Amino acid sequence: MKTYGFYIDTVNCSGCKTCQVACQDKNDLEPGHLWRKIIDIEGGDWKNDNGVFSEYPFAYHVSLACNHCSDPLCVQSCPTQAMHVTDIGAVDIDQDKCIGCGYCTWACPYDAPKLDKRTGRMSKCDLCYDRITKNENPSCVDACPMRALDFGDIEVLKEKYGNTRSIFPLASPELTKPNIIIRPHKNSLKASVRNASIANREEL
Amino acid sequence: MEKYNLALVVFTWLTQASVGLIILRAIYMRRSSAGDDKIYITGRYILLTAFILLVTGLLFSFAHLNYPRHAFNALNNIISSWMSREILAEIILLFILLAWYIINGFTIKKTPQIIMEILAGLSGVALIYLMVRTYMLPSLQGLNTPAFPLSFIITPLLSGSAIIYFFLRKSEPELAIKYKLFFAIIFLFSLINHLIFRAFHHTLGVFNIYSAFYLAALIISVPSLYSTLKNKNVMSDVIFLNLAIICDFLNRVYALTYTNPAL
Repeated sequence: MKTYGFYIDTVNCSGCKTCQVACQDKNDLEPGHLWRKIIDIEGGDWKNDNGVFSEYPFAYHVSLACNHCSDPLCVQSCPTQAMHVTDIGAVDIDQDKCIGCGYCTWACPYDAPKLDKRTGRMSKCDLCYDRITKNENPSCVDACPMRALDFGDIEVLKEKYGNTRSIFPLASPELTKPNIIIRPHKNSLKASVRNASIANREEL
Repeated sequence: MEKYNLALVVFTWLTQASVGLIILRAIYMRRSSAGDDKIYITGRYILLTAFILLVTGLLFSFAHLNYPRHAFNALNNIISSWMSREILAEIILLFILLAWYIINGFTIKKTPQIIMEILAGLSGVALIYLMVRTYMLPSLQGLNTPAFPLSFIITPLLSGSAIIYFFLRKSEPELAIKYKLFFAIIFLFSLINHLIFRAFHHTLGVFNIYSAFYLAALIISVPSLYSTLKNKNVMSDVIFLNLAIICDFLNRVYALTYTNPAL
């Protein structure tokens, strides 16, 4: 069985949010209800070299949806078994079981499951199941004008792009074994020591 | 803090108050010097209070469900979900208390009382353990501090001793004083617990509503404890107990604020 995953190129991503909007449009989500979100990271510092100040600001963007983890904490934690792994390896929610308690959101280190206020139940990225069964990419991937997103068998993506699975501010991949491959922005490597923080927390 | 978390604060707090009452009731039943009838009646009232607190807590837990029509599904995942286990333990404790109250009405023989006491005590402790496990998720870094399990031990003792104190204040003042002193010691632990939380969240120096309440409770505790030791019933007594309980409740509000996702 194939395990699908996303590739996220944080070097080329311009943070335009087209993927976010394409996802909302395809899945008919209300404003503020994000299955895919752009996390804006900003940071930097300055140096004083004998009275000459040099500044080193930086910014990069991480486009993040559900990572359809191999060891999903949301599935383990869900009290109703509504959160489950489908036959294509995607993590999905059975709406007939969900009680909308939000515990999956707590358990998910990526904050992927979101409450759908219209139904009172949780909702999340389903990998655009209808599109991938027609051999099309998820809508976010095809919408990206920078070609910063890719999708496919995680083993193929690994061969193509390497095996980096984490970047600031994401949690350690050991926690849930996320099916994502990341091309890390050069400034992400020193993000934690260069005062990096999430700049658009209120949007997420 | 999001709205549904407040319902959880009330749920955890009331449930733990109920467990605390059951445990501290056992001490009352053995230490009281009142007549058997008097002990039996007070014990029965305490038991009823514990049951009402538990039921009220359970009702509050429904308030955080956005789709309560499916609520019965919450027991589906006992195998791997700490939340399912917590709810199961809550229901078991509820039935034990109900059965105990009914048995208590029929017989005052010691053996069935002790059996029910042990069953309720053990399932109460198990419930608190399961509650701690439910909230201490690896993804919720803000809750993964030693202060969190400590607060789940402090609340039952604090609320339990306060309620029993109010039951005994007039009828058995000598025993009530001991519960009050115990309450005051636990309140100090609650304050320390809050400070540990703050230290982990780097907010030790921030003065806010939590600090104001803890400070007020500390100040009022002095005349309150003095009057208790002098066997006087004064307003400061009631104010201290209420303020201290509000502090512990706010400490829980503070803790569960960190259930909001990191991203």
